Amino acid sequence: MSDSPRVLVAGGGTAGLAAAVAAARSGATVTLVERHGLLGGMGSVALVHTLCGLYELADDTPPRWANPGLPAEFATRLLARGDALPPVRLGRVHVLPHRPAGLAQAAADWLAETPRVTVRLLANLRAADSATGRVEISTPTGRETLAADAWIDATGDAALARLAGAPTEHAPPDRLQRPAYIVTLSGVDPAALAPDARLRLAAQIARAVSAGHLPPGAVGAALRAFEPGGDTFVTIDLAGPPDYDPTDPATLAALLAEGRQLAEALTAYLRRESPGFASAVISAHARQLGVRESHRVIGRARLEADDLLRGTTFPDAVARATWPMELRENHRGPRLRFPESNRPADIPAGCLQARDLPRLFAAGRCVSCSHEAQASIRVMGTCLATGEAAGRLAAASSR
Amino acid sequence: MSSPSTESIPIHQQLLAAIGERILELPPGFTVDSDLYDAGLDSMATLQLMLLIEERFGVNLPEAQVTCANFRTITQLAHLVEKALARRG
Ligand SMILES: Cc1cc2nc3c(=O)[nH]c(=O)nc-3n(C[C@H](O)[C@H](O)[C@H](O)COP(=O)(O)OP(=O)(O)OC[C@H]3O[C@@H](n4cnc5c(N)ncnc54)[C@H](O)[C@@H]3O)c2cc1C
Repeated sequence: MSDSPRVLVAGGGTAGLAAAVAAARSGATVTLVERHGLLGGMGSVALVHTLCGLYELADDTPPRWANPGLPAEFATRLLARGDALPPVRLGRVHVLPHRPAGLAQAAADWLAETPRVTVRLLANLRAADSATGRVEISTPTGRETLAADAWIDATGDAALARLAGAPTEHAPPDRLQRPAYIVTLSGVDPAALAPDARLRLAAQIARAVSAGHLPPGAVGAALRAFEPGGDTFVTIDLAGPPDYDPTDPATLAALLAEGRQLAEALTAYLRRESPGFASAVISAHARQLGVRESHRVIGRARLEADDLLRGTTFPDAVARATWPMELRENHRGPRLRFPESNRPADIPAGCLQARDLPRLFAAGRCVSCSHEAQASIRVMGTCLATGEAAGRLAAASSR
Repeated sequence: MSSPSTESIPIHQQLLAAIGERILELPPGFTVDSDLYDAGLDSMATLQLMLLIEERFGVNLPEAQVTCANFRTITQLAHLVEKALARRG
């Protein structure tokens, strides 16, 4: 097997999954390293429950895949298993609502069916040496060294790049997209979440906050039903401290505690005050804070807001971005910047190649781009696409 | 509460400016009669817009008027604000 290049994928979120499948299908022998006990990243562990960026923007046509390769393949699998609902149209975009636990299992099955992929769960990256291609991982029982010919950083935080000493960037703490804490509720009357009822519910929450009946942080809460009779998702955007650092363990722990408290307070309030919630209970808490933006790899190219607004094309395009820039610089809801036309923007290969380390590639929310551009390319449909592209590039680089 | 400096500006113009500044990057050619949902207004942004209206004009929109249909265009919203201001006297 010595002629099969060894590719290490760091991170088992949507980007890492697609990277592993693509690299293996390109002939590489792949090891995927994931610190949690399940795959899916934000889309399962943090309970994010909608796949965005899978489809082209459209005014009235039926949904068309933005990236017909692995993003479409994975979404089709989710639909076939009943782990996603058919695409829902919201203005110019289509989204695919999914079940987080179902996404994790679909991911595990996808990788298990792919020859030459080994998944290492509960494996935390500890060190990386770019001269030898070796990375050190820690597992619950000890440490191990893994050797590879090429690396893909799909950690969302550019954790592998930072361990290897490759340059990374991040937005200032006060502009970083705000994090969120997500829980699911069971026992909610579906009628309470019909469009008009849902808007009134949001208004009720906002007024309860102004009146002091709910803590101020509850103003960041949004509720969404997965399907009638199914779970209801409560996403609470958090303001975060002035020096918000999504890689600092103490900050993450404090925000998790705040999110948990807000979710409990809000649920208790809704049980008391909102008829459709009389028997609502929290059925699951996120196991991880929802982090939208963190560190990014500095690549040979950098995607900018203008590229997305204009739908720029590049000769070395490897993926396409279609989601509007969804800025969440405060916890009171998004500010959206739509592209000028419905044309997708190209993501060039250079955004996935680390500037200084020829065998290091980036995928998902830590690819090389500006803060504004990241507000588009972070969505999971696009993460699957940059993952697929990084997987191919990494396999080819070490041949 | 509307401040003296903005009192002379029609409500729909104030709304158009405030939405473009705080809530949505409005596409070129967007008018007070264009569809806000097509421009990307989602449920959380709708709530933000409601709070913005209440804060800026010092009115409370009655619960029955808080519907998705009423938030579709700026003209409709301006109309609701005018009625709320008239009720307030
Ligand atoms: C609250 C919230 C709402 C969102 N809403 C949507 C939405 O509606 N639709 C949408 O498409 N997107 C949404 N997003 C964005 C999207 O979920 C993420 O940007 C996307 O999932 C990122 O995928 P990724 O694979 O790049 O990173 P992640 O999903 O973060 O995966 C990275 C993986 O790497 C692992 N990892 C990190 N460091 C290490 C290490 N040192 N060792 C081992 N493993 C490591 C992590 O455990 C994780 O599993 C939302 C995000 C948040 C936070």
